[in-house]
Amino acid sequence: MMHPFSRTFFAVLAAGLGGVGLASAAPLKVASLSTVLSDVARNVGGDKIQVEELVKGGVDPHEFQPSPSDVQLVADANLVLVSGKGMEGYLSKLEEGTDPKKFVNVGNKVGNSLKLKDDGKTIEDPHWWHSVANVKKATDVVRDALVAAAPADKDALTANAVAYQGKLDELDQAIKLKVAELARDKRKLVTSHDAFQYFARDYGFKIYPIEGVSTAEEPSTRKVAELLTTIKKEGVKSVFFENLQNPKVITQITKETGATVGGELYADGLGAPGSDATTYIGMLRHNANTIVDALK
Amino acid sequence: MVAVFLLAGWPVYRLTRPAASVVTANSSPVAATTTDSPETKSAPLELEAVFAPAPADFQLKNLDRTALAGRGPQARFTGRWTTAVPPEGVDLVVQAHWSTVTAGSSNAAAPAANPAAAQVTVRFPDGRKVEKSFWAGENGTVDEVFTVPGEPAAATP
Ligand SMILES: [Zn+2]
Repeated sequence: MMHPFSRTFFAVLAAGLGGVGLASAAPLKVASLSTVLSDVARNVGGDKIQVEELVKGGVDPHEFQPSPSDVQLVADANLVLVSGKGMEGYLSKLEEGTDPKKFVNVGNKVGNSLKLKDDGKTIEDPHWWHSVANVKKATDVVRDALVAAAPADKDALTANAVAYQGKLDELDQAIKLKVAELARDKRKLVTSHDAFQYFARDYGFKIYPIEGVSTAEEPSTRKVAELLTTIKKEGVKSVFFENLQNPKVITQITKETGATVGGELYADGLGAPGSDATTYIGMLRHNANTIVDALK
Repeated sequence: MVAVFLLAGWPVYRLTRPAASVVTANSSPVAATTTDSPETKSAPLELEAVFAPAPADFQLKNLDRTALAGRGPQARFTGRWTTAVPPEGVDLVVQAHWSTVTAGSSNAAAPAANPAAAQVTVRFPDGRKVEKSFWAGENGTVDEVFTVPGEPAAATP
């Protein structure tokens, strides 16, 4: 669903709201377009920052469009954290109405992109956070941006980043040990949309997505038929749906192939409050445990 | 590999020349055999695990099977493990404990001890060899995954 914001709307609104300054003692205002980056920022920034989440847990970032109040949050923010790699199609409009220097395109700075064919075009896979190594690099990017904006807090921000990266190392090791419970030739993952290629690269899985890179696409009848054949041929035991997706096609696949529903995965960001994926570490642990326990 | 050890302060001599305190054993305390899957053939793999210093105990596991295991005071263990190796490879979980050694963090009151470490080597019947080193964490243990590739191109010559 698209909201009919024009470039003029963004420019006029932001011009009216721009130029907001903060006293030096006030926490840095950090607007975030990614639930994962909100969590990284909270871990690195601690009480030195105030995170304003534009994209909240349980919201589909492929479909998200900023509201007028979101534009105001961006105008008021000292920094804006961007997921990048093409995830925010509205980004240029948002940048137009305010100081573009406060936007930190974390995903692009992380690099390490996977390229995917989507609808005949080669694109960067925007789901970079499914690699823990990428989130460690993102932590460096967020730390550097926060330090540049608040140099007096450098020591605290640096210590926080080191502590968080230690937790990410533990997470990566825990996932490797969990995934080792599953024979490498059984690591075949059928998911709703093509969001897990980075996870697959790091932990030795092969992905069979039902939809493309974006959740906006509907799978064609031919694509579903091809997938049914593949699932039967490869002996895939379970298929997975996502917290933001309609599981209708998954139900059809399980009926026709005999595969079971392996459970729900968090593909596009953190879960809603009350879920077990309200942190990045919780999300990755949930996904790895769900996948391995279903495919074993 | 050796360069990494030198840079990191690894006592290379302990791996290449058995010291007086290091007992070399060529028998395998535990060796397991797995059944073939329809798509893959079994291969007898030669496993070697070398420790500095000797561990309290260790095991190499694949899924719920033990491929090699033992305990100190030996510091070198070898064994043959026959298993199916699909093109995707197999994962070996490497678990080792040292009773008196902790990680190599320096202590201002005493000289820093060498960190405990393990080196695992897998040799295929065709001569291929893959190896990996593991360093003990702060709790004096290793609990990590060693992926043995199934594709010859990915192996160490
Ligand atoms: Zn997605």
